[in-house]
Amino acid sequence: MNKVSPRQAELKIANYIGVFLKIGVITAGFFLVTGWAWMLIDGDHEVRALQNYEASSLTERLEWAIILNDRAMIFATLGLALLVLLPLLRVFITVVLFGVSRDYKMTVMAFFVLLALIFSFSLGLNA
Amino acid sequence: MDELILLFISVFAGFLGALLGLGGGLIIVPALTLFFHVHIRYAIAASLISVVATSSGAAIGYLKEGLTNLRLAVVLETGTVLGAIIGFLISASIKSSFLYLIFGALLMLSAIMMLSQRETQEVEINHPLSESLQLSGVYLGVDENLKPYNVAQLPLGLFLMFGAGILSALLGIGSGIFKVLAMDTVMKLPIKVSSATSTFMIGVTAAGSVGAFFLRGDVRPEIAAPVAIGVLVGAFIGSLVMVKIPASRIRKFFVIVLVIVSFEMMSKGFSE
Repeated sequence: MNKVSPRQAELKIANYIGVFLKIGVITAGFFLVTGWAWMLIDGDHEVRALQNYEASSLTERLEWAIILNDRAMIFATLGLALLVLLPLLRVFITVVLFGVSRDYKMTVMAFFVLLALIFSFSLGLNA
Repeated sequence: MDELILLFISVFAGFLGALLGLGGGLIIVPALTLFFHVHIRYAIAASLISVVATSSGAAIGYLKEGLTNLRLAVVLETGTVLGAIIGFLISASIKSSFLYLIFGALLMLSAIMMLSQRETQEVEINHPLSESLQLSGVYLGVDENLKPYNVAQLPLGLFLMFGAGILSALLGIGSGIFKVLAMDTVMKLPIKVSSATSTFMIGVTAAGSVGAFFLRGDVRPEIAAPVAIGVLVGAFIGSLVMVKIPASRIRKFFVIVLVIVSFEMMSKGFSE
């Protein structure tokens, strides 16, 4: 079997990542568009209502949304969650793909980025 | 009505962002705070969402074209993510007016640096670390020929990425401007490769803080949803246009954006 050049391997990996991002963006976009359109129809989620800062965690607001049966808010939040996760998942895929192509220096670097991202997410849980 | 205006502004921000390798945060944060009077913490969080959206939307096209230097992106992301974490941790204790002033001054300096850049870039010598990590690449020039390029001054570039990461978390931007500048001016990459690679990276930079902001509850769907949708659409269109525009025109346009935003930032710093 012919050894694939680093450039060819990189282009292949780039291709896979591109496909993943496409699927991710379309899925997140579906929930975002549906949720936001729903919010517009509901008419009680105004931009100008956010002039003052009120600290309330994601879990608190999701609990309220469930209690109030605010499905528009839940849908939109799900779309946002998917969007936020896209870079994390993209880096995870990069780790796997570089590993499979036996590019160990890149695998280690990408894995470091992945760990740092996971750690950064955890900071929001304690804040 | 407010929501539709916000959507329109976001499409424009996404378009400009994809064109220049930025995240549009430089438009979104001022639009939300100055025009809609949204609290700055919500504006920053929503803006970071827009950065992730721009990055994800526009990167699809650039990856397909082979413009993005994926290996370099991974190496530089180690710096930006660390910077973003530090930025998030110190965000509560930094006075924002001070940041705006520094940021504005840096942008003006960068505009001057970019103007004095030569138009055609010769292939620079690869930094030894770039050589060992095989970071050099090729890209398709406007004349349809494959042109090689190398990556100079990698350690300095990495350090600048760390700084860019800190600013990203503090100001709600993707720091695409600093990434493009670092790659273009310091690491001597072709401008289109810098722009495409920056677009790819800003999503991860933003993710270094947006996950925490999201779980903390600062990402409000009322603004983040239209911003994300608008930016996704704009970024996709922008990425289609970018590959067809000559490099020199992109650089000139970039300089104009730098100067305008520089004045905007400095006046905000003086007024706070």
